[in-house]
Amino acid sequence: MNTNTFRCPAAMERRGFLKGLLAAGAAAALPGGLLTARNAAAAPFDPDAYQVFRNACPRNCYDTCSIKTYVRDGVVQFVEGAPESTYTKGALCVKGYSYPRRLYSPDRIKYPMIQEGRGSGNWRRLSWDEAMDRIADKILDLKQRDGSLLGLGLTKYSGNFGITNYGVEGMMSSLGYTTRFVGTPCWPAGIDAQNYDLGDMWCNDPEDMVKARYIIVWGANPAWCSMHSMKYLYEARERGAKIVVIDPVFTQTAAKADVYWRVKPGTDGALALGMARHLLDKNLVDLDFALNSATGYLEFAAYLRQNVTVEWASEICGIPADDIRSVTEEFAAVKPATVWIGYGMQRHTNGGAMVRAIDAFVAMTGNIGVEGGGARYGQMQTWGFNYHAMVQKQPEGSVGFSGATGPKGEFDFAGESNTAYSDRALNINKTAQEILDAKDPEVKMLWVSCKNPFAQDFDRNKLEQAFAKLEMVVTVDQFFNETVRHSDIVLPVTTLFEEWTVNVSYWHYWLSLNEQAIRPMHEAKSNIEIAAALSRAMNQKSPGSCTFPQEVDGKEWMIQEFNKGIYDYFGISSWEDLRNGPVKAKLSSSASWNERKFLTPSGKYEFRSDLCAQNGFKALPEYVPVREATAPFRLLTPHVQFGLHSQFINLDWMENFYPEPFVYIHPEAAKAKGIGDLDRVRVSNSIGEVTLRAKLSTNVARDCLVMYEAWFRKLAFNVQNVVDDCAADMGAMKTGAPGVAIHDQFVDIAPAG
Amino acid sequence: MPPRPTPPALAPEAAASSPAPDLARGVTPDTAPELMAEILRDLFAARDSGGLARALERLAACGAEDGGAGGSRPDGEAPRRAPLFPEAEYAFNRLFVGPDHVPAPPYASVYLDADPLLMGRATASMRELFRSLGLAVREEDNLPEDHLACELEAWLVLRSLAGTKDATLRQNVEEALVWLVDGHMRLWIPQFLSRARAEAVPEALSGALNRLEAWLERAGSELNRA
Repeated sequence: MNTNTFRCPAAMERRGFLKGLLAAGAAAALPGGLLTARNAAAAPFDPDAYQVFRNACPRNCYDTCSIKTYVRDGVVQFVEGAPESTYTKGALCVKGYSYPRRLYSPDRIKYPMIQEGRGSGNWRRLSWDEAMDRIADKILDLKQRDGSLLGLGLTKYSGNFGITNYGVEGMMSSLGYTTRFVGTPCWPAGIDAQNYDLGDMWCNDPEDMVKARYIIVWGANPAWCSMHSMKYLYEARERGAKIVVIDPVFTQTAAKADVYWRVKPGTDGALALGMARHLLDKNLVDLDFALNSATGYLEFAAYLRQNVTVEWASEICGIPADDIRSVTEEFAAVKPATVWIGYGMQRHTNGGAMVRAIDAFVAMTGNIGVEGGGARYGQMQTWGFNYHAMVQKQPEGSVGFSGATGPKGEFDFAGESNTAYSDRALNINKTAQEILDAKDPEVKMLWVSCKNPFAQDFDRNKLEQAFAKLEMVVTVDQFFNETVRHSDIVLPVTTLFEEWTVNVSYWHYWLSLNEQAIRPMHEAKSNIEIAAALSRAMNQKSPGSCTFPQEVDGKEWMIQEFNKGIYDYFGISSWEDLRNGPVKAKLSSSASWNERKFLTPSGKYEFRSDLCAQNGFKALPEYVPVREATAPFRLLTPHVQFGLHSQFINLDWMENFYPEPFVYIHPEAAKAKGIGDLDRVRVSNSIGEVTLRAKLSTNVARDCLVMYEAWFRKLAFNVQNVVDDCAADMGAMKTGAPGVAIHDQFVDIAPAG
Repeated sequence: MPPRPTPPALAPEAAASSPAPDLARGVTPDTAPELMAEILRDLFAARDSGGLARALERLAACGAEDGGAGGSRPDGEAPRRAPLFPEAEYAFNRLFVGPDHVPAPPYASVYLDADPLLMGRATASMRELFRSLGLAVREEDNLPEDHLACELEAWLVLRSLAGTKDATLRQNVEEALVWLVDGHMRLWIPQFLSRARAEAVPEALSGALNRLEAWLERAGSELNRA
């Protein structure tokens, strides 16, 4: 950190000359200079006055915080959590508080630039017009060569969840039918699992966890990844609830729990089935729910009796049988009781099956549809916007893909269309392989926005090969990263303070306005402004080649996202009500499924799901073994505290707190490998390697290694060097592609020498 | 105010094959500091290859007009003629612009504020100065007021006012110049130069940095600190 505090000589600090200069009237601006006469009509500057703007954190995080931004003289001075939201409750996380440092970092991407020789570091500035000309030329070239725009691919995910940023997808549609990388690396197996069981993914209001008398946090680490939820866990405990954390890693959340179970990764399904069997054995099943509000219960009970015992589960998952029995009995003895199903838990080859087993355990206790209860995973009830920016029409005569299509991710709100052609869907979780394999036409150009494939897509070495195949890569981002390094053109995009949009969460039920608080720094543009600029270039070169409006007003486009459904759901009459602060959905109950009207084919909770069977899985939530080990250690790569994927860790504050990554290894495993604390080690498998320092910790199991997923601007560290693209079981039904078995990875470790 | 004339674009390819001027020489006492400030302003405000090339060529021409006597390489070696483009442009962006981490950001607040960020107290000080002059940075440039180019322009504006016959105004202008140079630019530009010189700097740019350093020294020496 810079320690040079600004200190003018005392006489200079007074700067009495400023007043004296005013007497001169406006100075003559220099010909050819940077200055112009100041607009005399501007409001007088009052140094004590702040303007307060409403913002929302658009990152991929449970908490989606409502932010109050304090601006003075056009400069963001500081931010705080909005006190009006009982969820954000006036506090931000360390990432949220660092937002002004992100906005004003000298390292921000400031201008459109072109790299002459991908990876060379030889960058030149371009004007926006020149950048768009080059991009438009390439798009038109592809169209001419291929007869379609399927050679143009879009990879976009969760870097910015502001609703108007779906204009990126809109921009692609406005050009024609293109190739889309669909699916999600995040939570798809669990989404499908909950859809099979309940008919939708719909969680209770997280704020109602205070009502729970027993809470199991299963494969989530909210102390790091949803810190605002922790207060509900604490309050529940104050009211007498017991908190159990099940996780292969002794996390900060686990440290706060009453009971911590270190489960063997990928065996959570066996554990849940063992708990379910014990419910049967002890007659603790809520038969009213199981028989009247569910289907397939008796069949599932028969499966449990024939195939599952607590001892069997114990042997597989590593939790002592007596512990399984006691927690099961405690959970069933009180109501409401709830399980928070984390996303990490389903990032396995059997992830969907495991979520179904946990759902079944919660359902058997009758805690579905109960305030303070529930099998909580996520929700998209609050996302009913118009998707005005996203829904754009292809140009007349566009040619595209003919064949079966599906959803383009969980946030695909465009709906079905009856057109002869569609976009070509490729699996986002196999981005590298899909680029390498795509034919007729090959993917020749990639547009990257709201995503950093080199930080998040799997099998990094293969991704290098895939990018080498591409003729042009355009990346829209705020900071330089590995994907920018692999790009030809980079375009600077606005931060949350520099654009209008609106945000909701996939966890809580608050709606937040995001106002443009300041003029964009440098030459940054919002994603919809970039789309409009591209449309101007396209239509200038080839009239009619892009339907995206050529001029956009960010505020007007934000307003266009609202509709009566949103207003009614949140109890507001206008988006302008949000200027007074975020609002919460007017829920008839804090419990999802409180009317027990499930959206499954039967209208009931389905212990037996024929839809699941039709899609190639077991109809019942049966035990499915996890991926077999291919190397001595299982590698877990969960989220880090001081960043979100590759975001935030490049900021100076974070670099101070978290300057380098480590691989965490159990002391006994380290000893057997001849590794000492802080030794430099090589973590490797058949697809690649990572070299870094080791930290010895009993927080990890003897046969596991942990490397937190992160990006350090000064280091070559990348967990994706050793994470392959092995698929999870479920996810294709609702998100277009199965998930990825991020935590079913295996490596060896050795001193780096 | 009419728009700033855009210098004719110089294609990198053409520039690469043209004879490169000697840029290792520093400014001489004969080079008017106003001219040097203007050229350096244009260099750091350059928006494209053409603007950058034009500013570097003007710098080189200054050296030629001075007869090559003023500047010297720290290592005492004879001046060399280095290829100008595109290497100089790549290096300029690598050092001062991005998109990767910028080792020597040309913004005062990065060096003078407690936090090494843009739009800090140092920026506010410069904004206040511009306001007192009735000026603001042009919207299309959208540069923070403490960007090196803006500060050089502030100095130029104040110098243009320094000859006023209004004694009170003249005194205020002189005080403003003392603050700007002694109380502001001389506090951060040396740090900026050190950070830039810690990187691999091609000759074309190291010459420009030498000239900035010499200009700052001269601007300081010409202050009326009475």
